[in-house]
Amino acid sequence: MKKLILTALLPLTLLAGCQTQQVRSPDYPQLVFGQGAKSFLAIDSLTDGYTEGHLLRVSIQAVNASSSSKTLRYKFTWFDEAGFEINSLTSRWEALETAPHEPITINRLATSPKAVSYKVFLSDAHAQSPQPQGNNR
Amino acid sequence: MRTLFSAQTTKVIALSAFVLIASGCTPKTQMLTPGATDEPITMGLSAKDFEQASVDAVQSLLSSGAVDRNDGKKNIMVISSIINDTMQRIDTDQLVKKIRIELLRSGKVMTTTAIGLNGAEDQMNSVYSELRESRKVDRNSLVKQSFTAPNMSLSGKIIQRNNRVDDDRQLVEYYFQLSLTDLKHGLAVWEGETPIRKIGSAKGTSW
Repeated sequence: MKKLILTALLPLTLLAGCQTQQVRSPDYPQLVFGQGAKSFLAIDSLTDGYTEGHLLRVSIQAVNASSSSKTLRYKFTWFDEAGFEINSLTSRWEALETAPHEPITINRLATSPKAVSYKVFLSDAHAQSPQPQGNNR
Repeated sequence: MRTLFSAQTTKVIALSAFVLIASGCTPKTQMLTPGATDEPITMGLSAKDFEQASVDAVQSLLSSGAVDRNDGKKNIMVISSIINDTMQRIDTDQLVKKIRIELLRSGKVMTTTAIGLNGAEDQMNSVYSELRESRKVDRNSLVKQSFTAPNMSLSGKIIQRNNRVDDDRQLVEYYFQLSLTDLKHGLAVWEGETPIRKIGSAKGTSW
């Protein structure tokens, strides 16, 4: 009986291990969690708005909820009204070292006034596949 | 005693073996994926460092409101001197060009290529006026040049400081310092500094 259960569970375990852990937070649909990030990153708030100069800006307040130091990797992607991605120097992976239980603030500004929406990809730098794969929208 | 191979065959085999061994020892050339976690880190300044300094400068500059205008006009920026006070031979355009691209993209700042400390950046701005003298050029196709004077100037400095931490390690610090001057009043309306610090082997060089 034990053998049967183990045989049934093994493929499920393997499948779970193989899948790319890309999770979109239900509370914050703009945030896309890559492998590992969900396990230590707790989002406190996400604020967005426009500067006086009509540029979209985003502020993420979070905390490293784990009891060990982590390196968070993040990337902002900006989109225009038609949904096309806007080229920007800020659309690059950046790293942030965080101490256990340390609060984190990430502020970014879209450099183009055409930016009306965004996505933020978050991942653990030391996870095997730190960059979320697949459809980035 | 007869050998298995002739002398010529032995030479060919030896040469082939040498080439195979040599090619096996050569590090393989490979493309670096932008943002890859295994991107090599050097003690000197790399493209990643220039990107970081540029992002920091542009984010700070645009969020400061220093280039916001209410009259619908754009600021015209001239690139003043960007001093390389490091031990490395670097082209400061690696920093400045990225900043220029992002500021142009913001729709708030345009950079003049006709005016500069060492003359026009794009020399065609100056040479164009000589076309009037040429018989090969249809004069009706010539446009009257009227350069827009800059109202802002970007200047800065890249500094390097090396410090020995212990017998084995050294700390190399770089500072990217930039100032944006309002040319009407001669006042710095924005200033930014991005420090980049690296610690590594004392035997390594940072130039």
